[in-house]
Amino acid sequence: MELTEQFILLQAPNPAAAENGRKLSKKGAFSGRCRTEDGTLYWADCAGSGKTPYRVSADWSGDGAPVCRCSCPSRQFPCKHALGLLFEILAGRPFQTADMPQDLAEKRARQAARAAKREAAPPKERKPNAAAQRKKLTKQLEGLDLAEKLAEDLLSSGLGTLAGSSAQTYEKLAKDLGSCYLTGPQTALTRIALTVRTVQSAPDQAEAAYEEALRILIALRATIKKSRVLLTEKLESGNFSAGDSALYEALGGVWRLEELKAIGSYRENARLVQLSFDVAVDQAKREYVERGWWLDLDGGEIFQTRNLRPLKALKYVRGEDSRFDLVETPTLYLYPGEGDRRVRWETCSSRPVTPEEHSALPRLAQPGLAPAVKRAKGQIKNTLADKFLSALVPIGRVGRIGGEFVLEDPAGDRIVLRDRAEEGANRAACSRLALLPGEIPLGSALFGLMFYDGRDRSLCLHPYSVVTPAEIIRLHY
Amino acid sequence: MNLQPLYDVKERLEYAAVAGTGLVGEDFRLRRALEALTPLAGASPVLAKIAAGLEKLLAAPAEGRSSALLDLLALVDAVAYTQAKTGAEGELEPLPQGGGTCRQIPWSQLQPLLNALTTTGGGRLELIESVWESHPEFFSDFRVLPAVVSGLGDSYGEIAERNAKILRSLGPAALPLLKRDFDPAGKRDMVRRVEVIAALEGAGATPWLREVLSQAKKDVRAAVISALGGDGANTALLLELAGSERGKNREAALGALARQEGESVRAFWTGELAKNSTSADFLESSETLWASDLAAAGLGQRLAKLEEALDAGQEKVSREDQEDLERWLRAARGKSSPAMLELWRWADGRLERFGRLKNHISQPYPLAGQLSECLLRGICETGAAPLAALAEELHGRDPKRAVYLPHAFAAASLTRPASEVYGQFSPYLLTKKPLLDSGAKRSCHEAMLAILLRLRQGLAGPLDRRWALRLLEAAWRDLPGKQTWYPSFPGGAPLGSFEATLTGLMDPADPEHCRALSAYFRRRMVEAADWYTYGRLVLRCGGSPRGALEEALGRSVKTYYLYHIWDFCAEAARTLPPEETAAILGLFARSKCVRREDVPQAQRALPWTAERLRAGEPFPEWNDWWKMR
Repeated sequence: MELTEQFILLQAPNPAAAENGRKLSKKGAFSGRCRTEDGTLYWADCAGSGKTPYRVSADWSGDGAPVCRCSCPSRQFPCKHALGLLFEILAGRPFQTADMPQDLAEKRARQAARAAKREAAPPKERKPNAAAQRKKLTKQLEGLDLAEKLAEDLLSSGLGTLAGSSAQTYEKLAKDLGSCYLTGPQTALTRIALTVRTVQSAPDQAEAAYEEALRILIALRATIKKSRVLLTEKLESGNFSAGDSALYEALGGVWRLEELKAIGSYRENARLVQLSFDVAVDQAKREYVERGWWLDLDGGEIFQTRNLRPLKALKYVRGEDSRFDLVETPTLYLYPGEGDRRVRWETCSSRPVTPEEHSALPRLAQPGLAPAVKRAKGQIKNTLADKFLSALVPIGRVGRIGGEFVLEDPAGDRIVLRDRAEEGANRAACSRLALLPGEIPLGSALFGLMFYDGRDRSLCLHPYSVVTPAEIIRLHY
Repeated sequence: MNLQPLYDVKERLEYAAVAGTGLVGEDFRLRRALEALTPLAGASPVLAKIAAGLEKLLAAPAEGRSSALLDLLALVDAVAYTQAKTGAEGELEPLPQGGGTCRQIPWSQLQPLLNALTTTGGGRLELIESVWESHPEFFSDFRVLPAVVSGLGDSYGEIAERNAKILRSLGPAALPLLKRDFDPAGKRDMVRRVEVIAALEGAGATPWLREVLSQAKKDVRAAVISALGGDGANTALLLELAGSERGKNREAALGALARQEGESVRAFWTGELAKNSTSADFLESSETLWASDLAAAGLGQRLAKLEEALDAGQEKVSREDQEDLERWLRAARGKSSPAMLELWRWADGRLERFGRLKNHISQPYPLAGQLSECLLRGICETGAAPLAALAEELHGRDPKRAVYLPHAFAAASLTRPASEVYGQFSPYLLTKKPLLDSGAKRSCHEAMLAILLRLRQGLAGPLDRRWALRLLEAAWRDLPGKQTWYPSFPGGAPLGSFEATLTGLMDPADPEHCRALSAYFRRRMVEAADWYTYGRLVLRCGGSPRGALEEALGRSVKTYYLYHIWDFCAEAARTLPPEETAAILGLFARSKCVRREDVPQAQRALPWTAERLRAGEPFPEWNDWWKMR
C-alpha cells in the first residue's frame, strides 16, 4: 500500500471532509493507534463530540481503495474520522502492532463473503416491459409536440418577450416535459429562460444571451425533429432498446453501463491521463458538473468524464478531483456521440506516469493545426453537438500579436488563443500563459477547446493545459 | 467570395427571432438581405439553398415561420462555422516569463485557496493560514502567485498584510509579478508592493525605485522614498528629497536618511536637529554611529541646561521641555557610541541632583528613573556589548548602590553563564533581614525582585534554576506598589509581584522546583482560602492539591461556575492518576463551592465522572457535563 495525500483527497466525499480529517489528525484527536502485523488493517479511537470516542478503521484487505469504517453517525462516506486516520498513517504516526479486533474480523469476513457471492451470481438480465415502453414512447411523442409548440410560441412572440413573469410561466410549462420523460428538452427550455433572464440583470450582455438562447433553440428543434422520426420508428417496429444514438441522452436518457456494454460501446484495457479538470454549476439542472479531460494513451483520443452532483444531494454524492496519476481501467465505457465522447469506468487502478509515457504525450497531438481546425468545424456545425471541440495541437511558438495570444504550430499555421465567454471568468486561462515560469519546451502541445467566436467570425482555441514532454502544466486545475 | 451578404442574413434572422416571427413579413431589411444574397446563390449550391429557405420563410404563413426560421438559422450557422477564419497576421512577440513554479495541486486544494485569495467574505484568513502552514509551496505556484500579489489590496487589511508576509517569505519568485502592472499613483496595495519589493531586493531595488519615483504619488511616493533608504547609494537623492518634499514625503525622506551613513548625512542631521528638535524621533530606529553621537549631544545639551537651571535655583521643568527630553531619551535608547557612553558616565554623577527637579505642576519629576529605565531598556532590547560593559562599570563604581544593579544583572545575564551570574548577584536577594545597613540592602533586594520580575520570561538570556528556590526564602517579598498580574488560566485571582515572578521562574520539568513550589502554593491555598488559583498552580507543579484542598474549600465562601470546576478537574486528570482525580471530584461534590444554579448539574456530573475515571475511561468533555444541565 502506497499512501499519498492525493490518494486521501480522492477518497474524500468533498474537500471539506478531507480538510476536517486533516485537522483532527493535526490536533491529536486520535489515540489507541493499532495495526495488524501484515499492515492491511489500521484502527484507532478518535475523540468526537460524543461521550465515547469513535472507533475508526481502514482496511486494505481488498484491491485498491481501503474500506473505511467508523462508529460515528455521519452519512458521509468515508467520514472525516476515517480520513483523519489516513492522514495519521500518512504522517507516519506510530501504530502499535496488535491482533485484529473481533468485530473488525467479523466485518471483514462478511465483506469477503458478499464479494464472493457477487462474483458467483450471474448478472441479472433486464427484460424490457413492452407495454410500459410503448406507453413511454407515446408519452414522449406527445411531449415532443408540446416542446415544439412551446418553442414555436416563443419564437412567434419573440425571445425579447421572455422576461419576468412570462419566463416563470414558461419554466413551469417546461416542467411538464419532465412528466413526458423528456428531461433533455425540459432542461433546454429552462436554460433558455435562465439565459434570457440574464438580459434583465445585465442588459449589456443582451446580444450574447439572445445568441446563446437561439443556439439552444436550434439544437432543440433538431432534437425534436430527429427524435420524432426515431421514436415513431421504434414504436412501429416494437424495438425498445436505447440504440447507439446520441439522441437518447439529448432526450434526457441516462445510460447504464450494461446498456453501453450491450451496444458494444466500450473498450478494454484503457490507459488514460487527465489533461485538465474543472467544476461548474449547471443552474438549469441544479447540479455540479465535475468535468475531467482525458487523453487515451493508446489511441490518442480525448475523452471527457462528467461527474454530476445534484445540489440537493451534494453531501451524499462523492466529488471528483484532479488526478495526476495514470489511470488504468479494464473496461472503459464510451457514450454514443461524436467528438469529446463522455466515458465512464467501474473500476480502475492508478500509478505514476513514467517519464517515457510523459514524453510520449505531446506526440499524441494532432499532426498540425489544419487537421484540428477541420475536425472542429466538422463537429460544431452539427446542430446537436456542443459548439466546441477539444483538441491537442502541437506548439511551434506561443506569443502575442497586438494584445491577443496566438499559437503557431511547427508548420507555421496560427490560431488565436481566447477565453470562451460561456466558460465563465473562473476558467479564464489565456492570461496564465504569460505567467508560465519558464519557456515552453520544444516538442510540447497545447490542450484546449476550439470554438467559434461570432464577434470576429473566427475559430479560436481556449487553452486548458500545456503538455510538455516532462509534465502537464494545467492552466486550470 | 465576399460572404458579407450571408452574415447580414444571419444577423437579420437573429433579430427576427428576438423580435418575433410575427413581424418577419414586414421586415424590409431581411428582404434587402435576401436581395444581396441572391447574386451569390448562383455561385454556391448551399447559398442557393439558404436563399430558397429565406424566400420560403418570407412567404410562409405565421404558424410555420418559427420552424422555418430555426431550420434556416441552423443551415446559416453551419455555413458560418465552416467559413470561420483562423490565424492572425503580424509579428509574434514572445511571452514574458513569470517567476513562480508549476505544481500539481488538485482542484480540491487549489480552488478554495484561490477563492480565499480573490473573493470576499469571512473565514478566508483562516484558510490561507492553514494552507500556508501545511503547504507553503502552493503559494509559489504560477496560478496562486498572481492571486497573492493582487491580494495585497484585499479589503480585509489582515489578509493583505498576511499576503505581504507570504510574498516576503517566498523570495524573489514574486518580483516580476510585483513589478508588472505597477501603478505609481495607486493605493495601499501599491504601497505594500513597494514594501515587499524593497524587502526582497534590498539595495538591488534602487534602479526600479528611482524609475517609479518620478511618477509616484501620495502614499506610494512616501513608500518609494522610504524604500530608497535601504541603499547607501541613494544618500544624495534622499538629501535632495528632504529639501524638496513636504509633509509625509519629507518624513519618509527623513526616515530613510536616518539609515544612511556619511559625513554629508551627519552634517544634514546636525542642521536638521538644530532647526527642528522633533526630528529626533527619526533617530530612534537608527543604528548608525552619527545618530548615536547626535542623540548623545542633544540629550547631553538638554541635561546640561537642566543642571544650569538647578544651579540658578530653578527646579521646575516646563511641559514642553519634558516632552522634548522624553523624545531625546527615546532617541538615545540602545545607542552605544563612545559619546553616548560618556554621556551616561557624566549623568551618573548628577542623578541625585536631578532628583530635585519638579514637573510643571510642581510634583517630583522622575528624570533619574527615566534615565535609568532608558539605559536598562537599551541593554535588554539591543544587548549591545558596550552598553553591557558600561552597566557593569557603573555598578562597579559602588556595588552597594541599587541604581545600576538591575542593569548590571541584565548585562551579566546576556554575557555570562547563568550559574556565574547567580553566584555574583544572589547575595543581593536577601533571605534574612539584615541587622546593619538595612535601608540600602533592602533597596538592592527590591531592585533584584524588580529585575527578576522583568526578566522572568527570559528577556535577557536564561536564568539559573536556583533563583526560584532562593526567591521562596526571600526576606521581603512583594515590591512596593499594588501592581498585580493575572495567571494564565481563566477565572484565577490576580497574583502579586512576588508570586508572578515565582510562577514565571518555575520550571515544571525540575523536580526540586516542583516539590518546593508545590508546598508553597499548597500553603498559600489555605492561607488565602483560594483553592482555585493556588490549586491550579499546584497542579502545574505536578502535585496533588488534596489535603490542602479540603481545608481551602472549607474556608472559602466564594462559589464558582461549574465550568471552572470542570476546567480544574480536567487539568487534574491530565497530570494525576484517575483515582486521585476521582477523589478530588468527590471533594467538590461534598463542598459548597459550586454556584447555586449549577448545583443540580454538578450533582449529576461529578459522581458520574468519578465513576468513569475509576472505570478507566477518559475525562469527559465539557459538552458532556453541559448536556446534564
